[in-house]
This record gives sequence, structure tokens and C-alpha cells, in this order.
Amino acid sequence: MKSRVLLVEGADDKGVSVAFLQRSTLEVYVEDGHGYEKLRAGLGAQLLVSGRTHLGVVVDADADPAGRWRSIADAVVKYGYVLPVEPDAGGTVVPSPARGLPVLGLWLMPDNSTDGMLEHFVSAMIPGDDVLWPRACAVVSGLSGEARPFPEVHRVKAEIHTWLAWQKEPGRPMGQAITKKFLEGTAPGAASFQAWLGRLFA
Amino acid sequence: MITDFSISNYRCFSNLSISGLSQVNLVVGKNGSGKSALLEGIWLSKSIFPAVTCTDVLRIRDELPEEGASESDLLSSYKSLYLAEGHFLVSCLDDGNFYENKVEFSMLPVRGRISIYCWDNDGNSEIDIPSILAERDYVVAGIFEPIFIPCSGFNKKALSSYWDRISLTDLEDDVTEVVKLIRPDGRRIAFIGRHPVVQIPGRGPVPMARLGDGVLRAFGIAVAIANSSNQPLFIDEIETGIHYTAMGDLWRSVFHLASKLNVQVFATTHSWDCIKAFGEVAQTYSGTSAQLIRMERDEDDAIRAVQYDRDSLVAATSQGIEVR
Repeated sequence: MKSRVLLVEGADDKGVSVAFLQRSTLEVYVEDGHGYEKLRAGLGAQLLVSGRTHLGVVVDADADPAGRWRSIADAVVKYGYVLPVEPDAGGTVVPSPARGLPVLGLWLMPDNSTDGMLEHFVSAMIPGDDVLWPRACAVVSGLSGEARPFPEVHRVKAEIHTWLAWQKEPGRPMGQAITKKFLEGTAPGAASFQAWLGRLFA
Repeated sequence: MITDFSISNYRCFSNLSISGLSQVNLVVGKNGSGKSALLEGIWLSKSIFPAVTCTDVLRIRDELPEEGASESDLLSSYKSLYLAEGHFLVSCLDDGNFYENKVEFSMLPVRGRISIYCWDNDGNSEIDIPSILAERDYVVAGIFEPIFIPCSGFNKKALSSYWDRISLTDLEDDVTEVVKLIRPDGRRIAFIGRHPVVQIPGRGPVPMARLGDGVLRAFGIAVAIANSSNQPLFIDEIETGIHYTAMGDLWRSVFHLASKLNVQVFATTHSWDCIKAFGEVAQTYSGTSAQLIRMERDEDDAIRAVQYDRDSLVAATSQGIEVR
């Protein structure tokens, strides 16, 4: 019975979350929601699963954090969950509103306030003295025209995946980069996420 | 349509209320969570003759003592319907009208012998159980009584009686269409004695039983719906005998006929395939209200009902999120 579940948008989010959870003694299933729309559609059913005691949700703020927050609030209000007007800076945790319903936790990537996505969160974990990161960003900046098919809003994805391609073990996904310590687990944003997981699932 | 329902002290329920019921309701839950008991309770709440319905309930569950048992054994059987000693109460709101039955069984001396009596809500109604038992050796609902299809299906007598009521009417065509969905080469249906028979071109009349469990079961359900216009219908373990590939066709038939004939369906299931097909069909028939209800025991062992509206049901079944 999956009593503690963390719902995320995609495979990289899953990898990163698993890497953080492995640093704790928490036993949590991480489920790939296959994109925000599907995740939101299934959120009610996830809250109602028999025996569920704790449900966490990690989604990208994207370009409209307030809109995304309202969208989630609308999806859960009918079950009795009243979210704060804005997400808590360190991640939101809402107590169970009734018997049989889980504690609900919400984290808006990267930091519960700014626009952005998982990749912004992960890029903040690159060590400050890293020599490859500035070069990866420079390469991406230097692309134009036909050599720049990705939209500007996804630039950070191109930068991160470029940087990952050059690591000691090239091309490992983000989650493994954390486990193998290419990324600094102690960066402030990361510590905050770790703390939120602890508060939610304890 | 029944919209709200309440039950007290019946079988495993101490107190439960459910509101916002739909036209098609599928009830799921672990064994012992009260799925069948919920259906029985709703059946009892609308019953005009609760003593008769209680007898039917006990007979379906094979809980009546053997013939020749003492009256105190018989009384115990009926009293097993209570959770705690006293009486049970079932009520519902149907199209805004309130129906309630309070049922209590007692032993009373009458004309020199002991009889078991059932008091129902009309206050003054006292019905002698042994005489009901003598009359009803099979479960066939009267014209205005809801039908309850048990897990084991109808007995032959009941099935042929229900067929007789719709034979040569438009309803017979509706039922034949359902059978053809599962058995496309079938044509007309008739009963030879107590056995339903299907006309298969090239093979002549074939006993429906020989076409496999699923056909007979779907036929029984269709006949029951056809006999339940403007009534509730109860189907316990609706998936019994139906292959998972035929589940979609079965639900489509149920939604189509229930909507056409204004039948309110309450069914139970254990099967994920049945639930998945239910979700898919419910999404297509958006004009017919549908919900899934999970019965579960909470931390104090009390039973609660968790209701899934159409959107959460559809999301759960399409994404494989467990609802049982």
C-alpha cells in the first residue's frame, strides 16, 4: 500500500526527488505524473487512494507561478484542502482536512516564488567554482538561427543537459548527478527542498 | 432517482449517510467493507414490504435456516441483520420524497402459537414471517418492487418470469440488442421451458448456457434492466462470468438501457477491468450521472463511503490510480 507518495511531472523530476529522498530515511514512492495536465487531472483520485497518509506534489512554476498555484488550489478545494494565498517560501504543507485524507505538500520549482522549472533549481546546485558551467552557458548563448531550435524559455534545459554531457560520467541524468555528487546537495535551495520533504513525510 | 441514503444498525453499519447518488453507481471495497450490505440497505429503504425483502436478503445470502428449524433459530437469522440488538433503520430521499423503514423482529404469541413478527415503519404493520416463507420459494420481485441480482445470478424461474413480462414488447428488442453485442451472430431469443435459447443462423436454436457464462449473465442483466423502468436495480458482483474484453460492451448496454428506461443502477465489483471499463463508458455517456463509491473501514472500524465524481473516476481509470 502506497501510503506516502510524491507526485512529479516527469522522469527528471523523479530522478532528482529520488536522489534527495535517498539522503534521508524517508520511505516514499515517487510517481511520474506524465506532465502537469495529467497530474492535475489525477490529483483528486491520488488524494482518495485508500490508506494514503501523505501526498506531495512537485510541479514547475513555469511562466506563471500564481496561475499554477491557483490551478492546484482549484483541483484540491473540493476535498477540503484550503491552500494559503501564496506558496510558503520553504514549501507548503497542508494538514489533512478529514479522516481518510492525506497530509498534502506542494513545491513549486524552482523555489516556490520565481518563474522557472526544475532545471533552474538544479543549476543552482552547480558548485560556484565549476569551470564547465560558464562554458556550457557560453556555448548555448553562441547558438543562433538554425542552430537554436529550442524556445528561449527552455534555454536552461539546453544549458543543464550540455553541462551534464561533459561530466566525469558524461550524459548521466540529473538525479544521478546529485547522487554522484557532481551537484552540490548543500546549496541553499537544495537544503530547503530537503527540509520540506522531511516536514511533509515525517 | 434516489439521491440520499441513510442506514443505522444494519449488518456492518452502525451509522452511514451518503448523499449525491448518481444514476449509475458502482460500489467497490475490500471484502467485508459492506458493498453488498449497502445495496441491500438501499433496497430495504424503498421496500413496501420490508419483511418480504428481509426474507429475500437472507435467502440470497443463504442465511435462512433449513426447513423445520425452530422458531428461535428463525428469529436469530432475522436478527443477524442487526449490528446490535434492537432494530435497524434505513431511509432514502427519492426525487425529494422521504422513505424510511424501521425494522424490528420479535417473537410473539398469537392464537396460541409463537410467531416472528416484523414491525415496519408504517407503525401498525406486523407481518408474520413464517407465512411469508411459505409463500416465497423463489425470489421474484413483484411488478413494483426493485430487482436484486445476486452474485450467483437469477434462478431459472425468476429469469423466465422476468422475460415473460417483456416478451413481444419493445423491451424485448432492447434486450436482444444487448445479447447481440456480446454474440453478434445471435438473432431472436426465446424460452423453451425455463431455458433461454438463442437463434443462431446455420445452427438453429442454441441454449444460451452453451454460449458461455458471459452471454447468460449479460442477458440476465439486460432482462432485469428492462423490468426496472423508473426503479432502482441492484446487481451484486456485476463482473461475474464476464470476460474482460466484454466489460465495455456490458457497461455500454447498462448505461444505454438505464438512461432510456430511467433505471437507477447500483452495482458492486472487485474487478479492476470492470472499474476501468466503467470509467471509460461513463466518460462517453456524459449525459448520464455516474459515480464510483469505495466502502472502507476507518481507524475506529466504522464504515465510510468515499465517493468519486466522474472527473476523478475517469482520471483514476485512465491513469491506473487505485480506487479500491
